[in-house]
Amino acid sequence: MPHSKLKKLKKFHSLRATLALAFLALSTVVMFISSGLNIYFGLLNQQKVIDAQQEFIAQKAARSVKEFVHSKFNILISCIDFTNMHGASPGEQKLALEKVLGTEPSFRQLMLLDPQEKELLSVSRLSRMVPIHLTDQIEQELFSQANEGKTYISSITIDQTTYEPLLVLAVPVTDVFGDVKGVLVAEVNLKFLWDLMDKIKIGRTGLAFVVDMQGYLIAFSDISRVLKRENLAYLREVHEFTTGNEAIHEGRAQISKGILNTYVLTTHVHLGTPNWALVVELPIMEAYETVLLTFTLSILVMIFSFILAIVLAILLSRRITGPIIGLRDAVKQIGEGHKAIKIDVTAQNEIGELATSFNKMVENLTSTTVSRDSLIKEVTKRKQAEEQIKTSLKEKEVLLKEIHHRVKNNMQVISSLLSLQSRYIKDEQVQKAFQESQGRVRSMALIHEKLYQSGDLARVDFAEYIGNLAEYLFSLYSADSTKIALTTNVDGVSLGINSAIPCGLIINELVSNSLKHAFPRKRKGEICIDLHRKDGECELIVSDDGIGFPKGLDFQKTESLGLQLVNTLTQQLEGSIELHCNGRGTSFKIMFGRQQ
Amino acid sequence: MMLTMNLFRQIKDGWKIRLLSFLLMACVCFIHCEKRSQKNKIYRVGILSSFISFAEIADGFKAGMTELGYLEGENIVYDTQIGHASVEAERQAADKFVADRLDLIFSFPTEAAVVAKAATQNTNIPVVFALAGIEGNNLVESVPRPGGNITGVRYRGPDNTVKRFEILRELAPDIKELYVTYDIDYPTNRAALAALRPVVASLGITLIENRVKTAAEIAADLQARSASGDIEMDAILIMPELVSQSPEGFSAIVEFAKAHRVPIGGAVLFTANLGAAFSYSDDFFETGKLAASLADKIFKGTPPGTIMVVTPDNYLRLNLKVIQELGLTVSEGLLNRASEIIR
Repeated sequence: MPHSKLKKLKKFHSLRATLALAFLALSTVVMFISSGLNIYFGLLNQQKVIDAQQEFIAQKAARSVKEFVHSKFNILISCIDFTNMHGASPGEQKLALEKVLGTEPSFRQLMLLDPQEKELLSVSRLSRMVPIHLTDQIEQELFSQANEGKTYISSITIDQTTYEPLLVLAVPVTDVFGDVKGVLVAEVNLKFLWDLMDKIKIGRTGLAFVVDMQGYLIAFSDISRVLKRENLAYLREVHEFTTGNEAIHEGRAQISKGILNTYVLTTHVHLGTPNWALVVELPIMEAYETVLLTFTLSILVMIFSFILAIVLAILLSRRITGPIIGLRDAVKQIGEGHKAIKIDVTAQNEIGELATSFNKMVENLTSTTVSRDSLIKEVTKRKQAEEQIKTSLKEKEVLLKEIHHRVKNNMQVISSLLSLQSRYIKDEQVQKAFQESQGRVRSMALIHEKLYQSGDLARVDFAEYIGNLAEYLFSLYSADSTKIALTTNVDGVSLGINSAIPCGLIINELVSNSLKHAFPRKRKGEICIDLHRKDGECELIVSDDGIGFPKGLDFQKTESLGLQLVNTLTQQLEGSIELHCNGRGTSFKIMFGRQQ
Repeated sequence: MMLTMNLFRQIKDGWKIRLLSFLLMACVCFIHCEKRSQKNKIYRVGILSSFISFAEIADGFKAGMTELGYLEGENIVYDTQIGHASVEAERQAADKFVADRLDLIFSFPTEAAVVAKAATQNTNIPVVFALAGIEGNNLVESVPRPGGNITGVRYRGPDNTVKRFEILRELAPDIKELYVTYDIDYPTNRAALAALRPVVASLGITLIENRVKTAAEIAADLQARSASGDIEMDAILIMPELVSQSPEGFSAIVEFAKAHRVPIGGAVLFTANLGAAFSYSDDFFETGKLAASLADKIFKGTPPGTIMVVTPDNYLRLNLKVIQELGLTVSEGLLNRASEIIR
């Protein structure tokens, strides 16, 4: 898994936010489901109500339109019946027709025809200059219908002068036996139907219009569209009427594009006679106003509930996580070193118990921390004391070094004084004594030099010391290093000052003896100095391949100061000394320092 | 703070939803503001007419607008310029309407409509006319599609003049000489006379035409006829124009007709109230209401030139008192056809 992805997975999520979101999500889901169901069923119920209302409005409007046409027929029939049209004189017939014309403003022309389709008389609102004549509009179907005793309704025509829609109605004139004796024809100005349509109110903003069987607009509030002879068969509702598919929506109002090219809730009613349909359209916004209102209210309630849920989610999550966050903050503070932390325990639940336990833990921790603090103080004190000691030791080391340095200098001064003094001594024996003393002082000074040069001021590295001492002695006794070789074999032995000075003096004495006595007459040879530890003791062997130790001479009882010093110093070292003379020089073996 | 930060972090990735929500809200606000501005718009309408007697049309127009939801002082204001003495004064009033950039000019009758059309020729200001003859004056291109920025309620024109003559002849069948007096420059007279002349001639009646320019000329001609002793007329037919129906012109005609017992066939409806035997014309108030419906369509966005010119209904007003004073017989049929009878 890539590092970044791992990091993303481990991103911090606030417990409070998570709880709040969880609560919010839960309440929102419940709220949306319940509100959604409420809205859905409300919509279904409302749809039924709207369908019923639309149907009722359409039927009412259709009745008005139907009555308009039927009233025209009734006027004509009444005129025929009450004036005895068949038996009346021409004067009476004309007067009757003029009365009808005066009574009904929608009648533009009236004409009485005999059974042979001949014009008997006519009355008109128009002047004689108007080219339209009623006889021009009469179709053969009118007579066939009239002869069968039926009324007749023509299709719509448009007056090319006034552009008004006209309709021809015909009613058979019969005698008392019902025989057809003529036809009363009326030209009706449908503009009056428009006035009627204007008065039909479909809701607040709804509209109604009438179409004929071909889908042509007959009546509508927008007169210009009617006068244009607009065909509305492209509208779904009109199409259903013109094609006879009226059972498609089973009387239910449907949503489709309306005459104003907007979406409307629409339905139509077939008028029967005349063969027209009245279409009712109600804008969707108005039709579903109640639904929209309910929906809007539901949405508002949902929004309010959502806001309330947010607030409650925050409050609840705070209430739940408050003590936990308090615990976290307290732990953080303790981690940062604050000890006087206490959580106020209010909840009587698991979190409350946790807070109580935490407070106890803090108390215990505080007491533990107090012990630790005193310990830290003690350690600090000791460290300070140690530092002081170290400083003091350092000072003492410096002082000791200085002492050793001064001792060495003083001894060097003594050695130099002895050297200077010896130059004024003529006696060879005395001069030798001075020389030997100078060597002894020098061997001790060298010890002090090595001491203050060493790291611990207590022990002297004898490998380096022996080399330096031998070099000095070679120089002191003017030994030719090309003839007398010096071999040192020292295994990293270091000695304390108590052993170092006696040991150094012993080496000084024995090497001086070798240089003075072992190689007479510029004899070639070798001086070996071995120092190593053996079985817990230091073994010092100073040997040469010179002429050897004089026979019969007891080195432990000799008058020689040097050998006396060697014996004394060996004793001082609590060691032992052996002399080995095997004919090939002299070898002193000194064992010392068992405890060292 | 932490909660807010986390919430913000958790919805951070939903920028598309937020952007969509923002755009949706912006659209809703825009539509709301648009609707609000439309709803709050105050329409300014100029009403132009030369003749105070036609003021009823303006009343009808205002009543119609009120019915359609345009309340004067709230969402519509009118600048009414009625009663201008001359065409030039009308033209100036129309020019002022154009300069004021009104939302619509409502003008009547024919002359004012022609002036309004000319004044708004190169503008987008719509013109709705009423009681205007459309024959022979290029006021509209056609009845179904008037074109330009104009539409309105037409005056029926020539056929109305002929019909008035027919009604006059029903009242006075023995007419041999028919007197007409008219402004030779009035735009509708030419077409009306062109229709009238053959009809009158076909019935063997002599049409006596008195062409004038002022009401004073009418009075002078009638005085001259009175003075001559032979008035040479059996009836007077009022033409649908201004001079003969102006207060001065018509009162001279009525005075003359009374003195010589000559029936007057009036045009506009009020002439029957002022001494004509009848009047046959549009109802001014209804005409104004019809014009209001056209103005409403224009305000709702329909281009004026596509709104069909409306033809109003005619009303026959009989003054039975005058008819009886003249000793004329009115048929029962005519009485039945009358919209209103003054007794």
